[in-house]
Amino acid sequence: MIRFKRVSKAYSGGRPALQNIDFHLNKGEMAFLTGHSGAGKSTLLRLICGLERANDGQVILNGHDVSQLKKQDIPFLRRNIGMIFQDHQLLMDHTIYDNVAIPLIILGKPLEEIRRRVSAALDKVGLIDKMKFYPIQLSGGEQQRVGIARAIVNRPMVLLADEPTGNLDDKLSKDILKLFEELNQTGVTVLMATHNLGLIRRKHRRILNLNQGRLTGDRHAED
Amino acid sequence: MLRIRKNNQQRDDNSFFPRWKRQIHYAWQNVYNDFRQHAIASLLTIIVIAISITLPTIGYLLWKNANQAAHQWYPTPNLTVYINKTLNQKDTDNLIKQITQFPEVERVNYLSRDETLQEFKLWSGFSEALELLDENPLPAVAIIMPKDEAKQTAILHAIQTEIVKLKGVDDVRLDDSWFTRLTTFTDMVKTIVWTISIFMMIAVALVIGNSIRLAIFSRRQTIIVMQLIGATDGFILRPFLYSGMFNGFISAILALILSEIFIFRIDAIILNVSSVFGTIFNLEGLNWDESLFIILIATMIGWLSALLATKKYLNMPHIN
Repeated sequence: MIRFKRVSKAYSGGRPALQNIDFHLNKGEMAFLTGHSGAGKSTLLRLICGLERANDGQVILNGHDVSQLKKQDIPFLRRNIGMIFQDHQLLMDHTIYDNVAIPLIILGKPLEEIRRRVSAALDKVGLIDKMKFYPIQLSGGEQQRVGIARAIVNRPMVLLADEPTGNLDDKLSKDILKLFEELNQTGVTVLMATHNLGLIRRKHRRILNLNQGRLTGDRHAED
Repeated sequence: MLRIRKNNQQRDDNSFFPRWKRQIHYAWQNVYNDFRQHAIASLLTIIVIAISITLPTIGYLLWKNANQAAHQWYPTPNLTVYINKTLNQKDTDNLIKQITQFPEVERVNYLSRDETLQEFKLWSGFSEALELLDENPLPAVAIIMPKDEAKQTAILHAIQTEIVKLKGVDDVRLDDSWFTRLTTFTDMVKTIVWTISIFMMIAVALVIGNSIRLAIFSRRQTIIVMQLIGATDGFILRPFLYSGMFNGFISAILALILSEIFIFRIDAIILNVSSVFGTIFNLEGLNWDESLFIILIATMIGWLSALLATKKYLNMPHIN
């Protein structure tokens, strides 16, 4: 599903963010991306959804080379990806319902279908009763769950999460992680970046470890 | 029956046209919400644009009416041909025929020597003085009425020099002093109106572009989020383009109302003035074609300046 072939990325200014990254994530797999701050976790995720372009190598998502896509094709790539951000990226002047509905509005879905699918997504993250609220009225954990609902409302093939538990306490982090595992069971490929090793220690999942832009560990679930 | 319709509906759900319609509906809804949220600011913008459109519109109306007045009040210029006294009747007939054949000539009024004498006696009051002369001192004249499209100083002068060359013509007089003055005056007004119009159109474009730029700036976060979850540039642009068009359209309508009010106010004064001068002159407002033209132009300027402002923004790398 996601394949990196000798990918390198340097930001303007010369600082190499990623060097020679090589891995393959199968369809339906769930993996964690670990490493210190600045190790290149965010950059790796941004390469997958076309927010950045690799300087070298290939990033292949579902058979398409992301680094070769034209600028006008990138929105269509992103529609297949559910992105979850540490800072949520919610629209503060829209209700929870509207926030979750945006991916479907972009696709021009009929109102009835939007209502049905938004309700389903909000139900899944346990926020069905906060539909009419504004993000500011919700706690950090709830806002993150709105972000997740928005990411899954369009039933994406891939879920990318950049430090989704970064600002949350242990209890809430575990809830979020459990949600990801549930989604993974429905067949969604999940790649989650985190520096919280304690959270994922007892999970028997694949762990990709980045250190200063290099892939220094690829521990498979079987190990 | 119901079942078939339902099936059709489901099939239509993701086909191009209904999807497009829904997205356009969404964009207009966005424009409406935005307008409602920033009602005062939007109204101020619209008033500024409306005044910018009103000024050249009023200028145009003044020119149009001045032009009309010029045609209404002043007699059309005509050429007077003085025919040589020695010319016999047959040659004179030929000469008149020749003049009539000019393409610019509408019709020719021929007055024989006797007729001019009669006229002179009638109008001048020197009838007794003329009796004293042995011979009729007046020549025969042909008065040329030019066609409407030939009523321009340059063309009239050209005809004049052509006719003077004809055999049997002593002189051709063109009384166009008033006509020339008036034409130059209306031409000047026309140039001024054009210049003002161009400046005002630029002003309208800048005002709309600027208000769109501000709207984009205040919705920066929304745009970034939209881009992150896969909105195309077109989808993001659409509400801004519509809002530019909307601003142009509403402002044009407001401008038309303002110009009508102006015409209404000034009409009473003009009527007063013209009645003092012993004529009646009514100001004419804008007709349907002109109103439609102004609305279309304003809407197009709105759309175009919004397009320029948004394109420029979207081409900047700003997702971080």
